[in-house]
Amino acid sequence: MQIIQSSLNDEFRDKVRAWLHSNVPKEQRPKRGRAMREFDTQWQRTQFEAGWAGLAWPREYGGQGFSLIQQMIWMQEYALAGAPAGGAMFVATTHAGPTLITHGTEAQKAFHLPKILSGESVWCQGFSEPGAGSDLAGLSTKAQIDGEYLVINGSKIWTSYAKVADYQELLVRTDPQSSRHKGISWVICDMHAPGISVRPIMSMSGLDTFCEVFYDDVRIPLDRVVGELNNGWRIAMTTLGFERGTATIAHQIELSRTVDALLEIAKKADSSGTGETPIDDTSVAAELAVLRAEVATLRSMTSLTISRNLHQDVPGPEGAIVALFFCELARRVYAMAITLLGPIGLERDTNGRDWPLEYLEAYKWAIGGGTSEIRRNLIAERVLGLPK
Amino acid sequence: MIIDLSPTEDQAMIRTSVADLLDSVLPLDRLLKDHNHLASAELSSWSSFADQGLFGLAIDTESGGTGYSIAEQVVVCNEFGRHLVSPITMATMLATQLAVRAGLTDVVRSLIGGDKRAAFANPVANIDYNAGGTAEVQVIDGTGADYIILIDEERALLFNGNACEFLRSVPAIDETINIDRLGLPLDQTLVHSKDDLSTCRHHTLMLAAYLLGMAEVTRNMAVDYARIREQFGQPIGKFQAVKHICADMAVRAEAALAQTFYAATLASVDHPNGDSEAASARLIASRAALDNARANIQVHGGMGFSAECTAHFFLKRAHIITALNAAPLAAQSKILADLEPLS
Ligand SMILES: Cc1cc2nc3c(=O)[nH]c(=O)nc-3n(C[C@H](O)[C@H](O)[C@H](O)COP(=O)(O)OP(=O)(O)OC[C@H]3O[C@@H](n4cnc5c(N)ncnc54)[C@H](O)[C@@H]3O)c2cc1C
Repeated sequence: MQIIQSSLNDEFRDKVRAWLHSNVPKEQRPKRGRAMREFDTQWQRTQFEAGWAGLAWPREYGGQGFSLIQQMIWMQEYALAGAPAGGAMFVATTHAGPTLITHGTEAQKAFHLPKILSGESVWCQGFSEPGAGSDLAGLSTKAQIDGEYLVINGSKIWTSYAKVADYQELLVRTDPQSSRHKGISWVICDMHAPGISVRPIMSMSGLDTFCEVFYDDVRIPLDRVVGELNNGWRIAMTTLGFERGTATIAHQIELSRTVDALLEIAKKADSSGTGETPIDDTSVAAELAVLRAEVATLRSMTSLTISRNLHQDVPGPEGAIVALFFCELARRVYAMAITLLGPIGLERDTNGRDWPLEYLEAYKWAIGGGTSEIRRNLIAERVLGLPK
Repeated sequence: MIIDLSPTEDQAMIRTSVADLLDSVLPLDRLLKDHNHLASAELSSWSSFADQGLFGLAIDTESGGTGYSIAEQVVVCNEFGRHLVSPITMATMLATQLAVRAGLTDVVRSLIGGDKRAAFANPVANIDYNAGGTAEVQVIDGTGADYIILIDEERALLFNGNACEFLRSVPAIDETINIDRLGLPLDQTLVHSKDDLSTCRHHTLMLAAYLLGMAEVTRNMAVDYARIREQFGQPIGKFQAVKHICADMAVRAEAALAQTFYAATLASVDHPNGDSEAASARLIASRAALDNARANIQVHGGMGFSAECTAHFFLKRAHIITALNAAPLAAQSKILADLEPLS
């Protein structure tokens, strides 16, 4: 337990802050369609041109090769400056790029990495299927080898940004005799290839970011396989190892600001003219205090994860603990918002903030990227060592 | 602000040496044998604690202390919680701090040296400090204590033990703790400090660290038991219902650890957010200690309900420490206070 003082870090922070201050887009991020894609890729390009793309990527691949502490400073300042989340660029910059760097061929790296950094190509992640969600190893989208090609048939579901993506990290079963983790391959799929159709799915929050993707005899050259054929499970699992604890920083800062906003709301007198404020209700004050303490704790847990990773090369499974704490907390913070706002909380876009959207969106964290139950299994088995 | 929450070399060393000492002189199963009447086990090892410098850990060397900060003190209190050590140890550490502030050199020397000890007073009703007279309090393991320390969110008072009026002994929820009712003479304080916020903050953090220790041990106990206890032909830890209880215990312990250590690091440099962060730490750690104690009893089944297993001691002690000098409203307003941006 100690404060790390370094004038180099302070200088770096000042530099980051100044750059973000004058470059973060002022306009609202469009939530749908081509406009959303344009916005996200343009923001990536802006960062790229100023030398801020690929923070964690090695320099030889055009990244910045920043230390973990520098990445953390960037993420903190990024969130504090209100910079937009990666959005459509998220999979490319945090999953596809690092996976190619670790497992890709020279040709794959040379072709894709520059396009990702500059915001030229958008990627999506085609892992989940109608029959394979939490149990990803049960996936059944088929890839038959036909000469120099793989021929894909099947479907993926919940694929975020599939509608606007150029490429997809696609997990397919290349060995028809295989089951479970064996016989799966990780393939770069061109989303513009013939035979692909994409159906956006409306979510409960009213956004149609995720999609169902159908593959009808889609031909993918064999040299698009990343790692070896039938080795895709291992490739997919290494993606998890790229996360060194900085991912929750943005969420944590956003939640903390939301709780502060709720506090402000609770201190304002209501319109009844009695002069009473919601925070005079001791149960409201108590609940807000718990949430404030919990968002502070989320910040501390993030700091703890990063601290551990400062002293170890491979991130441990404890990251699942912070993830679980975050998604359960996020839901409660926004639920409190809706309760506290009363009738106004039922209206969208009142007071410049779409509380219902934020509230409804908060349900996704405990599902996407591993449900809370799956995270509990992981914590029990991998962190605590309980029997499978 | 960038904080490395991993232990420094000194902190790791302090933890190991305190843990080793406590493992040998205060193993948990001591509580099953005799109910630690009047903190007898602690008192018979008092001089070893003093020899390790525990009572003057966060006191500067000019005043006879070891010269560490609250961060190291929190590490020690964390071990106290893991071993359910009597709170008189923490009371004595804080009494030393108060005596240093008040310039009571003899008192400081005798506390650090292990010749004298203090105990916590816990008010049973709101105290009107302006009214004078006597205030009725509970004292925790305070029989024979040389000093009584009363501390809340904004003030700290130290009394001579023999200036206090013994009223009666009362059986406590925790049979390993003695509670006496005493009358404190409000106009006969040794120290009455109204703005010694750092001592108040340290008190809050030390209790948080103690509660954290309990949350960690109960998590470990539940996991260990879930691995070996078999029902339906398999370890109960294979059942998802049990797994998820354990996973939630791990989340609560990790949360308490992160927040307590973070807040202690801020407190060690007197950061303006220190009070708020410390109050958050105590809140989170109290919930972790109580909820983990309850979950641990459940995972142990009938054994958990029996007095022959140590599980119940953690529940009882968690209630004692959670209620000790607790001022929920004051803590709440600290947590809700305006904060400085941290970076
Ligand atoms: C907003 C959002 C974006 C997403 N984006 C993508 C994407 O870009 N690419 C992609 O590939 N996928 C994506 N997903 C899919 C996501 O990964 C899956 O939804 C998730 O893995 C859960 O799978 P499922 O939906 O099939 O639920 P199921 O696995 O069917 O789960 C249903 C319920 O059963 C429980 N359950 C299942 N197995 C167990 C078990 N072993 N023990 C205990 N409980 C269990 C679950 O916890 C859950 O409560 C996204 C999902 C969301 C919500």
